[in-house]
Amino acid sequence: MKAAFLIVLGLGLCAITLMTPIKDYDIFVPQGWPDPRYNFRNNPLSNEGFELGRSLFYDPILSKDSTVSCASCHLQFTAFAHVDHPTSHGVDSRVGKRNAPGLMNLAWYPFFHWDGGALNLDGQALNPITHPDEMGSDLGTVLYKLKRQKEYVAAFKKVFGTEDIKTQHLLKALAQFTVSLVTCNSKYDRMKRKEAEFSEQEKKGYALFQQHCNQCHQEPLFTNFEFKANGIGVNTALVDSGRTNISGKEKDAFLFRVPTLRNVEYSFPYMHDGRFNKLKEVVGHYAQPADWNFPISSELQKKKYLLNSDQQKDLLAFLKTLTDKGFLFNPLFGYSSLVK
Amino acid sequence: MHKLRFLLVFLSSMHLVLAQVTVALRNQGFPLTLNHWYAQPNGDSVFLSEFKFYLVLPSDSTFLVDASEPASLHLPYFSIDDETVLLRIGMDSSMNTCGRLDGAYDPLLGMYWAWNTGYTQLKCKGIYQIAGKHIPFEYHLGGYKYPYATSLQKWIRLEQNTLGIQLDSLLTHLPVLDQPRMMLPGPMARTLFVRFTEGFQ
Repeated sequence: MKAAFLIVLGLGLCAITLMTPIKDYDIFVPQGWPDPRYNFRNNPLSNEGFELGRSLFYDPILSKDSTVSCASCHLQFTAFAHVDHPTSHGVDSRVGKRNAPGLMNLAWYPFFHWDGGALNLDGQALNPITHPDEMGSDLGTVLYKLKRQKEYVAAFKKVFGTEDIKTQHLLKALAQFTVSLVTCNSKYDRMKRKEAEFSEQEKKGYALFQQHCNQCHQEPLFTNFEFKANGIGVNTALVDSGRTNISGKEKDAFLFRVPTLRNVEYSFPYMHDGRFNKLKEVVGHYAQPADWNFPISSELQKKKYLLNSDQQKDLLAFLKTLTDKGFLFNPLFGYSSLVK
Repeated sequence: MHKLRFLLVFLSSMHLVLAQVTVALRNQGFPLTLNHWYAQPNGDSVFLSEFKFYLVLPSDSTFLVDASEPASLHLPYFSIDDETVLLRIGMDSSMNTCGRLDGAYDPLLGMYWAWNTGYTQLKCKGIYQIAGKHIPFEYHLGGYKYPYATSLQKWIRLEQNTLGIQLDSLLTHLPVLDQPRMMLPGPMARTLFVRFTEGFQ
């Protein structure tokens, strides 16, 4: 029953027959994908848990003045990223330092945030809930507010067997929703499964991608989960030194996590500081090494490639094959509220 | 009841005793009281408004001692051998990153670092009076990576089931002039944490 629910709900329109069920996991793993890293044994998924997490995700009750929800910065139709703003804004119209990243395939992530500061998906949500530039709340207040809503008390009891809502219940419920946001049915995926064919332009773009981009944006997740500097230069207005804030190592200064390219057509703006609004600007940046600024990771320094205008169009055509509309517009991931 | 009796017999055969240990925080020979001024031997004075830290007990359970919560000064029962016990002061790296969010790991206790997975192992906040000037300070000492890990295992001798912790060394050398706030792992956080562990008798 649980597996049936997750096939339909968690994986949306992915081709069920071509996925490999793995024992001890609560989700099905698309064929050819690595094992998920999320520890499902600590948080077994259920219909009720997913629905509770979904309701919490869309509920501004988590913010200090009940104005900002997770979905305020993570909109489904933009692959759960934040459009229109280079960096996200939270309570009291405070503006943060970073572009809210898309939320996809999180079960495979070894860490979270642009700087890799959060190592567990369950604990990750604490940061936006308590950050003064995001939801600006505190756990005690959030738990108090939830306990005053009879619908939430009943839902938590159903999922965790207790009406005494604790931190771990709140965070695990949220994770039940976010870990279920699996996208694996783009044209690229269907091409890999031999259910679709690339156009000539997409084929050329894929070849360019494999030649120039795949080292960091490794298939099938389209990221190698490393921290890199891509030559966009330091944003002096934000003074964000990236990974070094977490590692304390000078060599990590201004490095940021390589983001996934899945649904990249919809997850604008781009880069950790949201400086590029259009995907063609991103491709244009990588196509012009002469314009790169310090710092630059060694992979890019070695390449120094130029892409002409046609090649850039080909690459863009390929990147658009990573769009999974069945994920972006799946009503099962959309707004929901347990509170009537 | 039978189980407890069996356990006690078993432990006594191993020369182990099940005990409830009480934590006694002291500064300059006096019991530590929050929101109270203490004269330091160098002529300065210190006032603590917050003081809490993690211990890992022999049973491998993690426990938060909070000077503002008298109940937290009584550790859960564990076995000791001839008034000595091996304690870990501060969680190790696996405890920091295990993803547990319940009990002593509950972020509600205010020790979790949301921006960087892991926990503050010692929180110490107050005011330092130096040359007639009041300097507020706040130290969140944590970090689990070598060489700045704030976790240390130590054999400790108890006195009548009391774990005495002298804060003299830590509180006399707080770097309030150079660094009145410390929120990140690093060499100074490690140094202060080690000074704290030196106070375990």
